[in-house]
Amino acid sequence: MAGMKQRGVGIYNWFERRLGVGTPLIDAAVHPVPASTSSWWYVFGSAATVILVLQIVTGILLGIVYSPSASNAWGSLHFIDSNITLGWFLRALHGWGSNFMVAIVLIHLVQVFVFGAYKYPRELSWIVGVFLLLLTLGMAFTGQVLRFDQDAY
Amino acid sequence: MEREVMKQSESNLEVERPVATEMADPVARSRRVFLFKLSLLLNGAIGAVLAVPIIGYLLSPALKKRSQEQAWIPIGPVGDFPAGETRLATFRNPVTTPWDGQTGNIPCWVRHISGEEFQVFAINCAHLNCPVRWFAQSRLFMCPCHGGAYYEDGSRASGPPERGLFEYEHKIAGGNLMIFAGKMPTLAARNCKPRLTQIEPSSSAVADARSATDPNARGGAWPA
Repeated sequence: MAGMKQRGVGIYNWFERRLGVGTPLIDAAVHPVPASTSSWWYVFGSAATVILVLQIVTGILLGIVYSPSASNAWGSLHFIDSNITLGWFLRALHGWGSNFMVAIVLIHLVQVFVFGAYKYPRELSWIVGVFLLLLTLGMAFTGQVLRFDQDAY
Repeated sequence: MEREVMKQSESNLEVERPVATEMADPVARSRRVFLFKLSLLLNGAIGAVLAVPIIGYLLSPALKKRSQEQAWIPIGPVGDFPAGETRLATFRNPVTTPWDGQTGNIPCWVRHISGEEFQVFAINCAHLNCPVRWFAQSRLFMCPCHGGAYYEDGSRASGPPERGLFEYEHKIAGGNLMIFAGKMPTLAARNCKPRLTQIEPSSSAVADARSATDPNARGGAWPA
């Protein structure tokens, strides 16, 4: 057990000496911040970013198989659900991720508004944020109607 | 080695603390370090939950069973292929989906030699897979892309291809001509008959020997 751990550390060090990825990440993780700013209210911005990346990745993967026509859309989704390894899980991730992204973006904007974080010098961030909210709502809608089922009409 | 890493991570956490042994050091056992490791573990677990379906999704065509790829497909009644002629037949790829449309239809050349003797050629040139065309007058298959030519038995006549046309396994069942299709019949496909792996079929050995000695034919075979 100890030998395996030592070996794992050795492999990590081999990559770390050549890539140098781990040290800056650890530095950032252990970077001291004021106690007043370590609030759970601040997670929603980065959470929205993580979900956006997840939506892009799962959306591209679903788009590989999805057939964008009224007659075949449902069939291709059924194919994803039943014929592809964990395809149902990926589709569920994308569908739920869409709902969660709208909720998290809304919470994030409420937090920014309540905390007064839209004021100078952040007013441009706020304007961009409102546009991003509109884009999020637009994409949540257009993504839902892609299913071409009764709900989409 | 292990000690060194521990020292490094400790020095990252608390610079001013003197480095001590692993177990005795209060920093290594602090709540801060515990939560840090816990968060790493949780992030790793979430990453795995996301990575497994994504990689599985991408690899799912490779994970499929081989039996689903190949099937016996009827390509028409035997009467549709008069003896001594070569006709084009089209079949639906068994591994296709309904929304693949026209791309799921695959043509092939059917040569009825005589009686129950048939040859079914893949339409793709053995050079770079362009569809070859049958010319009944010259009794040759010609490739439009790089000038590959094949005799009526599918063996190579001239041009860049290094071998004859690939053939489908076939049988006659209930008056229908059936072929075993799905994956393209290539050297990599397992169910190729041994004769398919021969680069120069014996029937055209003379013709190929002639073209090999002919400098003009060589020049035509390997354009610069």
